[in-house]
Amino acid sequence: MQYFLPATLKELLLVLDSESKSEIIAGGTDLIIIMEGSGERPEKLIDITNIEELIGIKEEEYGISIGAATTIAKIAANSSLPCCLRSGANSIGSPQIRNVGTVGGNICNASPCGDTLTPLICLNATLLLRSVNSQRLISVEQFFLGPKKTVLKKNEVLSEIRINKEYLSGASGFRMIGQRNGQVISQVNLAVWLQRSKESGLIEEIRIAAGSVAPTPVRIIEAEEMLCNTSPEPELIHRAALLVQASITPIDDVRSTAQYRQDVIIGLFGDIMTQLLKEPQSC
Amino acid sequence: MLIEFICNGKETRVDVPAEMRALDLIRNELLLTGTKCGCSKGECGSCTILVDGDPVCSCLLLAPKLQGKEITTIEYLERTNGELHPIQQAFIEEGAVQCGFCTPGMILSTKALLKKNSAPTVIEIEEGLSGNICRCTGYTKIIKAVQSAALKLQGAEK
Ligand SMILES: Cc1cc2nc3c(=O)[nH]c(=O)nc-3n(C[C@H](O)[C@H](O)[C@H](O)COP(=O)(O)OP(=O)(O)OC[C@H]3O[C@@H](n4cnc5c(N)ncnc54)[C@H](O)[C@@H]3O)c2cc1C
Ligand code: FES
Ligand code: FES
Repeated sequence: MQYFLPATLKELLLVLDSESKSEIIAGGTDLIIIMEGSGERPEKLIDITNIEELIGIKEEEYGISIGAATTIAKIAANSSLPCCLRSGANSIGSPQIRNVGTVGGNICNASPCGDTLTPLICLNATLLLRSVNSQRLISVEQFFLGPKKTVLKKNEVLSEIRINKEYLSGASGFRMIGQRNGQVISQVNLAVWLQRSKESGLIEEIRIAAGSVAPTPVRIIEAEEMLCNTSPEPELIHRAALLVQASITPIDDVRSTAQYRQDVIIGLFGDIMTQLLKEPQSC
Repeated sequence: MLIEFICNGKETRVDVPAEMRALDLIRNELLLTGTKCGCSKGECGSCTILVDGDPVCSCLLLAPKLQGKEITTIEYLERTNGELHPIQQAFIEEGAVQCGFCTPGMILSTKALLKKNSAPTVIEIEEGLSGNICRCTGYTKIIKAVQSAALKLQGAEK
């Protein structure tokens, strides 16, 4: 196996274009486990963590840009990012995993339980995918095709994640249930972002996304519609929670049962909503 | 593949296969066997080393990722005069070591935690050590050891 550490994005894109049997490695926290498990090695591993253009969190005119190779630890610690994304990041693995794992790796690994995915869906994030002679912006919702399957082409890299200004204001939260504090892969995770009218206090826009409950993380539009233009009381929040429950299709797997996921999501939703309406700033 | 990095304060150059894990490089080539291998899956933390001061699992790190980095293993904590590091002393005094397999990782995670947060609360200690599993001492004594180490280090600064 060859190991390649390009120093610039341009160099990376050229290599990606020419090598068919190459594979990108960022932190490697997903990839190494897969490689060690299967015993298979790609002909060439291309490490993207030396490329400065892919690292860091920057303010831009449209909002915020996050380099794909930014570590999960840096995301969790950055106070200019919305609550749901920071707490999603903070719930990943342990300090050791967060210091190495990257947000781009979490996205491209496309696990239904990836803990930054539902926050990014709530924040209506867009992904910049680049190849040597083109680039495209795609909504994060459109990126996932199934477990471990994305729209990413062989010669493309996810270079940055963009969040627009309007989603940087408003309140957001994230909750997950896992089996052991610290190093848990979530059995269910849920993120909510909402914006209330300054005058009336009504919810102007709300986005809800759930993870580990379907082959890809899912947005729950029916519940969003029910809560839009309301100032929800506990009874309405509960009715919306039932809608959330009805729109997920979890399975039994090694981590949990479908029934448990169905049951627990009601509590998670109630919990986030109550917090967002009462103390939207606590993160 | 030729890799150059600083290991425990020393400039180090090794020529190893690119698929070698940092853990195997450290144990089998550099013969620093204080770094342990428990699970090879990033879950137990016994393989913890510090890379540029941050704790990481060396079982999930390929050796080429050490290029240009500064790493610390448990062997570097002992002072040159043979005295133990205050964190090591605290672990011994509090009885926080039974079989000792988790201890190098626990101590390196503690070092990183106390560098960021010199007086952590119990919850902060639990979070800081959440990547390290101990299967025999139990966590009460380990947490006490971290608190005691924090006091020792604060004292040393004055
Ligand atoms: C002990 C342990 C606990 C964990 N806990 C959690 C958890 O609680 N929640 C969670 O969500 N995840 C968890 N993970 C999974 C993993 O740590 C995260 O998914 C992490 O964010 C992956 O990032 P990485 O940089 O390490 O990815 P890598 O392993 O480097 O890459 C993952 C995949 O994405 C591709 N890729 C990476 N970056 C790019 C890019 N920029 N463009 C195109 N393709 C790319 C790679 O080719 C590879 O196929 C855990 C892992 C371990 C080992
Ligand atoms: S051996 Fe690396 S975390 Fe267990
Ligand atoms: S002392 Fe034995 S595992 Fe911790």
